Amino acid sequence: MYSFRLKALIGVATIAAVTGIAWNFISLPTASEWSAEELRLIDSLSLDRLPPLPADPSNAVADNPDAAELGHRLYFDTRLSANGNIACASCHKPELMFTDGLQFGVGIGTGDRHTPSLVGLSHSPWFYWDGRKDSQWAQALAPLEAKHEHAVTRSELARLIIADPEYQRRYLALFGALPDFDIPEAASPLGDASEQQAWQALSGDEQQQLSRVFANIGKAIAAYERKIQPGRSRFDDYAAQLRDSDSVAVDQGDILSSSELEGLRLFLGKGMCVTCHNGPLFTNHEFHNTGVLANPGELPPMARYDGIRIAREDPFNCLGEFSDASRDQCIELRFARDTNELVGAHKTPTLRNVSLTAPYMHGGQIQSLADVMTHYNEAPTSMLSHNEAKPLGLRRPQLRAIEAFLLTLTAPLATPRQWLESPL
Amino acid sequence: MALNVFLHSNLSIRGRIPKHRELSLWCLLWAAFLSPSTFAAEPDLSGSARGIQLAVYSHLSPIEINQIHSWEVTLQDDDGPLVGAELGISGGMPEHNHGMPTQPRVTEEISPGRYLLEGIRFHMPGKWQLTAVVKTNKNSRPVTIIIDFEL
Repeated sequence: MYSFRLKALIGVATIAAVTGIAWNFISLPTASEWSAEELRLIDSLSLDRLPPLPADPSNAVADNPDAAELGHRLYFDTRLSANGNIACASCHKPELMFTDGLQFGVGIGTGDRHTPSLVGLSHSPWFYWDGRKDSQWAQALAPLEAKHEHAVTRSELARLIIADPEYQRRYLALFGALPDFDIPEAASPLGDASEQQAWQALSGDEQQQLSRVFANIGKAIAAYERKIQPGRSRFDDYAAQLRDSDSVAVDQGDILSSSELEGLRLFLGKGMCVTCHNGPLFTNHEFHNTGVLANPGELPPMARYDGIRIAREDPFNCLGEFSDASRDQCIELRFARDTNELVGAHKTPTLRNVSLTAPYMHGGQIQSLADVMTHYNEAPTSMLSHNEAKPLGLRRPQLRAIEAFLLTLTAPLATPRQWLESPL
Repeated sequence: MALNVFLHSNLSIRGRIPKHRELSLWCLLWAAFLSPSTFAAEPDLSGSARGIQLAVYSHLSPIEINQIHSWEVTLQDDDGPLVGAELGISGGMPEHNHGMPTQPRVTEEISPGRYLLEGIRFHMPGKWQLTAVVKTNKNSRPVTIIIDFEL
């Protein structure tokens, strides 16, 4: 009797061990052909389907080559900071796909958000993780005056443009005129008490002149940032091969491995990744609550729910006096939703070059892609509002396959080399 | 290229049609060429409820995800176009428990019973459901029209 029990126990333990190993390590064979829907989705993700860069009617110099050159200089110029050490490029580093590899951006101080990539961002209608800005030029302004980033004031920036002969020449050629009054050293409506006091001492017209220079600096930087575009990856080669082929076979030669192809299938299907990470930039540029926990010590952020309200109040938005757009052209801002489901919703980031932009999420909460896979597989309850994602029930080999597929999206930028280096 | 072919095909029939008929043909073809949505036989989407028919003619046709655009929406009942109606559109993806990324609004009645709806954008492939609420002087209570479609 004892012997039988022992044998039964060994049998059950063996079955459990084999099942466990198989569950965690063995992939199942999958279909050898793509369905019509999968073919359509693969094509829709291809860089060949990237539409032309959308115009930015709020920025009259968005596609002006001279503005891009001025913006290029400003982007790399550390004089645009209180301590002379911080430029846009300090956090958005070209060699790291315009991110910084850190959990939080570090300028003059340390922020509380992960530095997002700028690659292909000019296709997005919204900027910041919470979408508080509705144009790339308006976005470029905020870090300049933020105390933990550049910590400079708009009066100091105007003084710099006037004092530097190269900047002055380029600025006048593009924008026509510079302020014609005695500009105080440090004045800003967003600065500390003395800076705000200096700002209040200015006339309305003087304030407007300084804010105009400030806006134009942002417009030149945005003209440069529009050059930062993703390059062709192995996935794009595979999609092109599939498009040109008469065959719907998954195996199209050696471009992608079987594991990467299995990952692609899961990305489109059970993984449900493509619901948000769609289109050639692998983002819908929208805002979703996916149950990412706030960082320790931080209250769960309202995110886009507050972001759209901030964007509407922003003096530098599409409808504001510094925008070059007509009211009819500000469609995204005028028709943006502001409903409760945006509580805790952050912007979907691009997945192109995602292997080079760790850590992940708005607060850099998740260190590795493997952990991101686990997060979406489990879909934890959101701290605020509801998690739009549902638990996926995928096995570990399947999660690894999705991760393998994501690595096929890494490629050198399409941006010419000259724009990736400092011109100074 | 398409325009060249079009002109060429017209020139080729010039000799066989009396001049005034050629002019009418020109006008007809040009009208169809310039305003496809106005003359489109098939709307991009449609639905009806309680005797009211709604048809959507999208300025972006076929409708694609991630592109903000406008629709022209026609409303009519058995008596003809519904003039001066109030039209509200909301919607979302029932399977994902979320709404649209924008709040579209009617901004103009372009012609009797034809309304301009601005600010339409869809951000995910899959099944969408729109709810159109129509208020008119004819109906004592609003008419709700549900439109299901897939992107």
